[in-house]
Amino acid sequence: MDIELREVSRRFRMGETFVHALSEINLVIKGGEMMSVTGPSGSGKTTLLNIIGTLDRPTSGRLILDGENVTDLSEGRLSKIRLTRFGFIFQQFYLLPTLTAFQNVYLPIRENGGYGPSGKKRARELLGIVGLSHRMKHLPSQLSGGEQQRVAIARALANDPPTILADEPTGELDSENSKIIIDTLRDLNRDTGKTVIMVTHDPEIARRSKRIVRMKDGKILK
Amino acid sequence: MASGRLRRKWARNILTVLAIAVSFSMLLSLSSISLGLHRASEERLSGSPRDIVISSLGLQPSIENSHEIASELKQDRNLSAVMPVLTVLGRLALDKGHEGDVEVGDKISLKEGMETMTVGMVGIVPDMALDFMEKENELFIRSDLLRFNGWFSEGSDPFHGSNYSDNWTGELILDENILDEHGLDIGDRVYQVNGSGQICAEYTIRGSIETSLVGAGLTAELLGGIGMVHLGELQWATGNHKKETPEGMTSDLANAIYLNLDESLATTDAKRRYSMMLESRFPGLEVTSKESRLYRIDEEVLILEVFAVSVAAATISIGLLFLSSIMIIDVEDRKADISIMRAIGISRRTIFLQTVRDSLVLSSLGAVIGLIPGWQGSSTIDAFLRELYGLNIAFSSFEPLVFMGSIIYLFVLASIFSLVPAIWATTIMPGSTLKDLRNR
Ligand SMILES: Nc1ncnc2c1ncn2[C@@H]1O[C@H](COP(=O)(O)OP(=O)(O)O)[C@@H](O)[C@H]1O
Ligand SMILES: [Mg+2]
Repeated sequence: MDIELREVSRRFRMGETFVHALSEINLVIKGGEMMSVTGPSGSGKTTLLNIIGTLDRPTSGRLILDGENVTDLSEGRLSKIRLTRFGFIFQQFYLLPTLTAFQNVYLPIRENGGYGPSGKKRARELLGIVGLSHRMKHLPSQLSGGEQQRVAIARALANDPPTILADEPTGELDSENSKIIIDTLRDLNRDTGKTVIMVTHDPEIARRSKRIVRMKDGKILK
Repeated sequence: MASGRLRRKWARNILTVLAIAVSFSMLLSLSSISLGLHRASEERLSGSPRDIVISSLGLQPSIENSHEIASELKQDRNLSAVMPVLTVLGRLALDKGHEGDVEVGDKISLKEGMETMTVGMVGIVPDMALDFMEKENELFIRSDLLRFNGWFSEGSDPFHGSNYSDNWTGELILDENILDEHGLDIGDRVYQVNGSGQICAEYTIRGSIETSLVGAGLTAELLGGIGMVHLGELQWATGNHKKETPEGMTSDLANAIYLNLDESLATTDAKRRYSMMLESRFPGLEVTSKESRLYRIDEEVLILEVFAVSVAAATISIGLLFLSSIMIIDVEDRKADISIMRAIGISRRTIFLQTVRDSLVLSSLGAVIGLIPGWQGSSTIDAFLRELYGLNIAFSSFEPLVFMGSIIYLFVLASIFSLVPAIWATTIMPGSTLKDLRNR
């Protein structure tokens, strides 16, 4: 899936003043790319990812997915886009604490109409791919950070989306677990052709992507 | 920390379920009472209670010349049956050692150790009573059914006919329970004991009455049973044949005259008119019917029904308001989770339905728990109303219709009351709280 941002700005109101989290961003990401976004804290990386993933709307400018302007689509349509076209991986994992690993993965599959045995089979398979077949019935609180993030990857892949958005996916992990996560994302990009957009602080990790976008003060550095 | 939160949720969920259980049991019992009352007044219309009772206002028999009045009324073509009745609480002594014959006018002291028993004595004129029988051997008096084994051989009231001097029949038809309890048989003799503790009359048991079908349970239990004799003989034995009162000499006293209207008059209106006519003819006496008692209920039914329905509606609303606020707290608690769900593409619809479903699950649990107390409450109120009106009819109708109706009512209301939390849950945006989450 091709992603295009045109003149995208996002500002937040902070009392009397505005914070310009993004200023007139122009960016094209081709389907199948592996891209890292780096930059100092507060430079707008998360805001950029949220806008790409339709979690947030730009104050001005347009988001174009496969040539379709989705900026002003209804919440319902955007929800469906998030469900089927994006897989999200967050720094804090954001698994649902009351659901087991299996249920966390099955939830978006079921939401997309995949209930019943085939949907459940897919959830099990995905957990198998990230090496957690033996942790299906565990609650997130019973899993290590690395395991939780692997469940999150399985969940992100639930509906086989063309694009994976990962916001500092290794921020909470030790180097060993970080390596597993990054390897998994790189494998996904290489083997299945999924676009992977990853925010990271770590220049080592960033260097493993073909493309690196550096941000500062809501702008992309050339 | 997580387990602590879970425990706290547990507690409040149990409380919510209990609140719903309480209000649901209230809804159940009150709606079964409502329906039962409805049925009771329907019964009044569908059945043909043709009975009217002219009765003394106090406990003392005060209808004078009862035989004469009854015969007069019997001429009235509007009436199919007429019968004067004297009911007194009497004491009977058992003839264990063959005490010998008791002649009219004798007053014999009770012997030491003689077994006595309290019996509800009913004096009737047998032939007149026959007119009340729709089936052979079965006498309907008010809502009570008496079934006879054996009957009086003398159909008239000859002792009264001889002006209380001759032709004593001594025929007695006694409650089966009494026969069983005291080992008595048909043909055995018993004596009537008067107020001064003297034997004054002699009866021979001629038959038995099955009274297990008698409605008013309380009186039956207190008395142990009833005994039926000729009216004149009971009058004589209890001093009601002639009695001196401050107003002068009275005679032939009875408590009540039972009447059955002719089939042609068995409409509510005609009956009421006839009752009013009787009232003016017998001032100082009470004219009632099963119908009039039901009529009284009818007027009160509406008030009771309105009351029951409003109380039920109020309690169920309170229960569900409780549910509603708990669900709002729940949504507040799950704000972060909902935000995550929205972020990964779970639709508002799913989140809405999830909240409604949670409400319905709690409501269902409440309904299950409230079922037994609801039934209990309904039968308690039923018993109370039976006592209050002295009628052996079902005031509560605890049936599948009530249960299903209440369940549907509960679920519809629970859905409506969960709208606020459910809609509120859908307003939680995907991105917004993720930021908050990050900082928590
Ligand atoms: N929801 C918000 N409300 C107000 N300010 C925000 C919000 N989200 C982000 N910002 C601000 O926008 C700027 C960019 O934030 P962010 O995109 O999170 O940066 P990064 O991810 O690069 O650390 C920061 O100054 C931040 O404080
Ligand atoms: Mg960030």
